[in-house]
Amino acid sequence: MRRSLSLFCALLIGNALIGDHVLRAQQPQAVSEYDIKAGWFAFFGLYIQWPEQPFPGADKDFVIGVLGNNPFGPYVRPSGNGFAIHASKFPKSLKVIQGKRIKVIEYATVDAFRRNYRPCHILFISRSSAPGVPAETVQDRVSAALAKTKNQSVVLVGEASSKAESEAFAKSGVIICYWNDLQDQRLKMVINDTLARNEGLKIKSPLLRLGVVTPL
Amino acid sequence: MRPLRDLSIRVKLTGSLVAVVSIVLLLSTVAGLIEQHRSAKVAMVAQFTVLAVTLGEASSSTILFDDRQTCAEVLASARLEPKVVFVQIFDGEGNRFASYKADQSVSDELPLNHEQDQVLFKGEFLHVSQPIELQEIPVGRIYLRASIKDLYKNTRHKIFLATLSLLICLFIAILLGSLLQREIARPILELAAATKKVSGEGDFSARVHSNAGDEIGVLCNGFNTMLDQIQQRDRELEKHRTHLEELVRERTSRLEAQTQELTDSNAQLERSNQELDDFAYIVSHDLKEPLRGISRYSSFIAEDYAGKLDEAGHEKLETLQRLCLRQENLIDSLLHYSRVGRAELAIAPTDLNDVIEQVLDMMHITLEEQGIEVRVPRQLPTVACDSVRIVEVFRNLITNAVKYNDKAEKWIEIGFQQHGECGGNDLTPTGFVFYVRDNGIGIREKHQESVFRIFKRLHARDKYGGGTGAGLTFVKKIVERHGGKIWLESTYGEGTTFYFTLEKGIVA
Repeated sequence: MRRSLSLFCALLIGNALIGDHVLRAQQPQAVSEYDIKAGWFAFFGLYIQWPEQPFPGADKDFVIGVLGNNPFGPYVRPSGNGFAIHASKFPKSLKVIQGKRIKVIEYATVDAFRRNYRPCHILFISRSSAPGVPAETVQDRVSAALAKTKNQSVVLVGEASSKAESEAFAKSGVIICYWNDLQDQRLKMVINDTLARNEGLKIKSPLLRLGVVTPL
Repeated sequence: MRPLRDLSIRVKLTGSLVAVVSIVLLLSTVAGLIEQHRSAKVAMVAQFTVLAVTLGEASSSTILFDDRQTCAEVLASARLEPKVVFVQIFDGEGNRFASYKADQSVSDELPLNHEQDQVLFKGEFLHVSQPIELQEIPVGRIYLRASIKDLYKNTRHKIFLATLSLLICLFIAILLGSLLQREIARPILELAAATKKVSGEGDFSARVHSNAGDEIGVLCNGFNTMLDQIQQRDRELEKHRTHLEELVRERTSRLEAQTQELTDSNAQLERSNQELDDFAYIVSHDLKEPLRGISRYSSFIAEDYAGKLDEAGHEKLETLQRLCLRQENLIDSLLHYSRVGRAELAIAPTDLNDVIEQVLDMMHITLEEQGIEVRVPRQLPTVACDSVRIVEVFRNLITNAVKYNDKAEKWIEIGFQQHGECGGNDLTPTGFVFYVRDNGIGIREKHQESVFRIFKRLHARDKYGGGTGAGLTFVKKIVERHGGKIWLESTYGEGTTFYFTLEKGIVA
């Protein structure tokens, strides 16, 4: 009796879960660009291997730096001691990458960046400037980031408006550079694997062989 | 079951060997096949689970980065394993993401709930559903369908090979069995043949050759020993038989000699008897002649010289005449006796009731005078005999019974006993025993033998009505001429019973 009751409960819960999935599948949300990009931070954690102990504290925190305007808004939010990624890819918020707490450091301006730069795993170079900082260009931020992280195992992630620009950034030293393929209506990226390797970073083949990736 | 029991031991041995071998082989083969099929299935499950997991991991990045085309390319590597017919990847939300089909005709229906980890043999396929996970992040699921036709084809092939080997083994078993059974069955068959020879033809010289030390060897040796003993006994028996035959032959020849002797003496006896009879006839006949003269002349003297003779002369003459009469009677009797012995019997079926009636008729005056009761308890049979002689027999016996009786109430009983009726005296097994019984004076035991002797009288000449004393002698002679026998039982003072048989020719 008890057994059949518990079975019945399990069935009920199972049904509820299936129902939930079906519901979500039936109502596709318009996924925002930064929802995707926030999710991809976590995936870079899966497919990129950093050298051992690239900087002090690298074993405890997965540090993501954001240079310029932080566009992630609700998708990367502080949570407890660290941050949580709320991407629609994940059924629940993700608080751990590579078994480490997520830590986000924002650098609103190039100046602030130059002054306060702390070593990180990924440095995201925003396409847009922070509000009230109209003088900076993407190029400024890229140059500062390149200068600051030279010979460090930091994955620079940039944003470009076209593939050509993206490739140009990548060639200049940004390891991963996003671009929006308007034809395909999807986000793509250029990865400079050679550079990454030179900096002691190992980008795994599952990432490199993706159709959305143009490896250099 | 009967025909099975009647089969030769050779067939039984080979059959049982082959049956055991084939059963064992069949069981082990079937068990082996089942085990092989099972382990092949287990191996297949392991292989395709690993393949599913590997494919899932390989395609995980494409799911995460939402790259369906690359995912399809990754899945296409499954073509290296031709058994895989269908692979379907689901993304984290459970939607179909990418798939691989070995062939366009493959159905993309899922026979199982792809959201659960499952491995399932169903229809002609193995269905595997596995999760795809990367570290803590659930990526999606993979469903893989593999054909198990090869598995069954393999198993069928194995069954074919096993059947083939089974047949070969069976053939070898039959071959070996027939070789082995020959070793076991040969002495038994020989034993059976020897037994048949012994029991059927009575040939005890049959022997079974076996130098085996097993039970069959013991049996064969025992059989041989038994036959030896039988033969030995046979020889002894034969010896005894020969001896016995000799003995019998010897006895027989002796008996034959004795019989011959007896026959000879019998013939001699008969001859002398005949001579005696002839002699008696001649003598009596010739004796009668002078006696008649003496009698006649004494009558002449009595008539012619009656006045010249005195009293004493008359008396002596009377005595002379009486003696003459007596002598004549005696001679008549002797003559009669010799006639009885000489004359041929006129044997014919005779109703003894008539005979008795005739006799009683002749004697009725005497019987009435004496007041004798004659009893005939039952009708007498009809027998083959000389009726005149038998009348004489009964007349003599009844006359004697009448004569020698001093009782106030006299009776005579005439009857017969048949086989099985009397307590088994000298009774002839098939014939009648007649008797004449009276309640007369009886005969003392010492005289019972001599009453049949001629002219033998037990009493004074004039007592009990006189007589020559030849009656019973006639009776005996007549009975014996008929082939019968006469004897008597008597208690002195109470009565006498004469028994006689007429063995020859019993008619009724």
